[in-house]
Amino acid sequence: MTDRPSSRVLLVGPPNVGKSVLFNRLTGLSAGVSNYPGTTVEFAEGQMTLEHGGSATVIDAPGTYSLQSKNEAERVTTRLLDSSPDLVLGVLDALRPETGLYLALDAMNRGHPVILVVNRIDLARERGYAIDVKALSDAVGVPVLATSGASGLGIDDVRRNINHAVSGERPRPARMDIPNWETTECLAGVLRRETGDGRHRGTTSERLEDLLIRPWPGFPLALVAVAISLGIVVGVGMGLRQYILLPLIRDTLLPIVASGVQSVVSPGVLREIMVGEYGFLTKGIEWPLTLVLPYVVSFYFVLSFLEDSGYLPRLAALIDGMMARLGLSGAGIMPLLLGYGCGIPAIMATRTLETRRERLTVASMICLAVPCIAQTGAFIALLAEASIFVLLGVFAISIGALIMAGMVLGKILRGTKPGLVMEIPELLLPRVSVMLTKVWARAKHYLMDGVVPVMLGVAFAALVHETGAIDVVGRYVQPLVTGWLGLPERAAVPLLLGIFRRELTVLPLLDMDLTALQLFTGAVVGLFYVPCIAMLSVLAKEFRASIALIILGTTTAMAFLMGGLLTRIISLFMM
Amino acid sequence: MSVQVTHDKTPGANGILGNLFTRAVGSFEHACAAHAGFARWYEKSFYRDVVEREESMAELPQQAHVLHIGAGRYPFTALILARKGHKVMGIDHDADAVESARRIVRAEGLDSCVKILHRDGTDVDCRDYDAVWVSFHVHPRDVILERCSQTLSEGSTLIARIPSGLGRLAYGSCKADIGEGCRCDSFKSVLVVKGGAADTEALAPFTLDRVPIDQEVHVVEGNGHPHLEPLGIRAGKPVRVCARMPVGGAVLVDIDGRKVALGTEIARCVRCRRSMAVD
Ligand SMILES: Nc1nc2c(ncn2[C@@H]2O[C@H](COP(=O)(O)OP(=O)(O)OP(=O)(O)O)[C@@H](O)[C@H]2O)c(=O)[nH]1
Ligand SMILES: [Mg+2]
Repeated sequence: MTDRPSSRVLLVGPPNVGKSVLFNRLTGLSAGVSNYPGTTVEFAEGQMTLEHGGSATVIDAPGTYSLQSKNEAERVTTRLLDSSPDLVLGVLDALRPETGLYLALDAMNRGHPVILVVNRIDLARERGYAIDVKALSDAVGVPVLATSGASGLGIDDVRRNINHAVSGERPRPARMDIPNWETTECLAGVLRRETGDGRHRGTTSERLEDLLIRPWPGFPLALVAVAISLGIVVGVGMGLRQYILLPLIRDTLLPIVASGVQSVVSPGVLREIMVGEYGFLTKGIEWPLTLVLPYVVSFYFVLSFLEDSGYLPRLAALIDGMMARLGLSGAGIMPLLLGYGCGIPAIMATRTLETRRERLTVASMICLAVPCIAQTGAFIALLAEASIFVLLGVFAISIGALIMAGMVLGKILRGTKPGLVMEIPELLLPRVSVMLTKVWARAKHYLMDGVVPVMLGVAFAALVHETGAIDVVGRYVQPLVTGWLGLPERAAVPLLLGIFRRELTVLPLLDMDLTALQLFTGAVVGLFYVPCIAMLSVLAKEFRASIALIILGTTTAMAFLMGGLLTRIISLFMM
Repeated sequence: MSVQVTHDKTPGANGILGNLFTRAVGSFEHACAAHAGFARWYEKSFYRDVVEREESMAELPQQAHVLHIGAGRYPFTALILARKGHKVMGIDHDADAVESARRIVRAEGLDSCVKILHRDGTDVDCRDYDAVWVSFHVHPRDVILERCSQTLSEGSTLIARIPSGLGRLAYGSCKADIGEGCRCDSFKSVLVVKGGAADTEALAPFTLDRVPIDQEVHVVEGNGHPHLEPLGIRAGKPVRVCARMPVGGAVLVDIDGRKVALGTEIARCVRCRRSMAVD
């Protein structure tokens, strides 16, 4: 029995009903979970052990409102359904069951064996609903289970039923008629009854929900929220750096490393490359761990709060009118915000956007002028000491460029204008443990994927520097770097390295004793300069290789153009 | 089907002001009848737009049969509709006006398409018409409107011009309650009633983007966006608009406690109905 290919169990349901939470419970993995529709945009597989040995493959799919997919994320799900999984777990939200129920009935109609899972029963109970799974099960003729993914309630029951369904007697697919909304609503009524003793509407959180989304005071509150978020990212980041990471890394770890190396490696070029002033074991460790890591932590802390509270869809609704001016819908704000963390999930997140034109516009905006958190950390390190205004200036330029890019792309890209259809989820109080898990996941990701490339980059820079190769390179790039941008020749190296990690366009400038104007120019060039290689490959995969190339070319050209122009304009005023 | 139109008699309605107003309209039409050039300019620069807007609300078929109650001394509406290829029957209860109107129709060379009869509006039969226009100043309006809506056949449309602004001072406002089988909508100063069972072609849209805040309406038809039905925006469902963002921003609606934000473009394509039409 174990040599049989493992059964495939597919989680299907509307967005934001808790499929990924259930997936994590069943497989022990940690797929991304957050309180807005469209968190999952790519399927994930995990193993669930069965009772009699062997295992089943559980697949978490993007949420979908219907089986006529409207966007790329939904297409992933319909494709998975078409690959005829052995069992479909139709997940419903106990608060509003009919959407998921319709979907599950549709899947049954197409001949899939289905088990219904009614999730978030804790929320439904709290709101004064009673859930009767037995009645629904009798009505539709397939097992119906109630769960609370958040607390783990009912998960064992799900396991047992999966076990039962995939080992031995496979459930006969219960053939259903093509569902219609009347019957679905009836069935939803069978499942869920109002008991009347729930938390009544008009509670504080209800009132807060209303306030957040009315134009007044929604707009001012949104500005306040953004300001507070920025404050926390920068403030907490600086605090972490100053009081934890600097003492730990620079003052404790690095001297040990340095003396260790010095005792083994004799003085010379090699030692300089390793632990010299720009050695990859000194700066190569100090930069990523003390300049970038603190902001990775503080940013993802704030982002997970925003994601888990359910504020982001509200922001999307508020900003929709403005985004419409750029030919986008409010939903575009989500990938853009994710982009301030990392461009890769951000480009993936454009899958929830409806039109290709909107996807492409948002992805290009991210590549051009949204600095990832690693780069932002580098900006803060580079600029905040010179002057906070230079830092704010760079961000103002970033926002301005985003708007310009949106307008220009809106003119040149063809296609229909997108419209917003966004479900606004309940506001939930984010659980600290969930937020910490997310932050830890991102920090770990940075430690694994980010630190080594930076070390290698620094090693390369040190090598070029120590061997004198910089003079050769410098001669070639002299007109561009020195002549046009007004930067020292050495600044050519970070531009070379920037293609690997975006922070590398900025970090090496730190120790070049640049003037405020040069810092600003360097930062502007870094801001617009090419997306990293990983982003380019995602672009090529999500769109086309030619589009990745066009973006590569445009961003490079923009970087040099804007850098040079701004230097000239500002130096005019400074004279 | 039935339409009850109750006339809200504000003090002074149809009194001195109303009289003055009717007279003013009368002499204006008189002037038009006398100066063909002025009439043509007026028709082109103002009247045609109005009628075209009403025509699109009525969703007229090609070469429709139209009845116009209160055609007036200078039958602008009839002429404009006739030039668009429709067949128009105009009636008026003022013999002088009928005389004048006939003369003008002849002068415009449209007498094959426009007939003008001397008839009272209170006992018309609208059965044979695709659309019925009711003028602004017909009297008694409530009786005429009720009569029209009772005899309107399935799928036909009643376009009633309703006093608004200054006109309301003169004529009083009009409250219409539509019953089973009718769809009713109002635009600033036009009341549109669609005759026939609820499943006939819906009338010119009264769309979600224009529903006042906190008013409950029923969805008549979504716009085919596949997310709308699953989110509860489907025929017959009551929805409430909770907020609308300024300058063309999103509309926030509440369906059974579920909140959904719709871009204006999307909201503009969701058609709704409400039981109360005009105020
Ligand atoms: N109270 C409560 N919240 C839950 C429960 N299950 C999930 N949630 C919350 O619901 C939100 C959505 O959960 P996800 O697992 O991301 O939903 P999803 O179905 O994967 O959503 P998409 O990936 O967007 O399709 C998160 O904020 C969860 O914390 C539950 O049983 N009870
Ligand atoms: Mg998910």
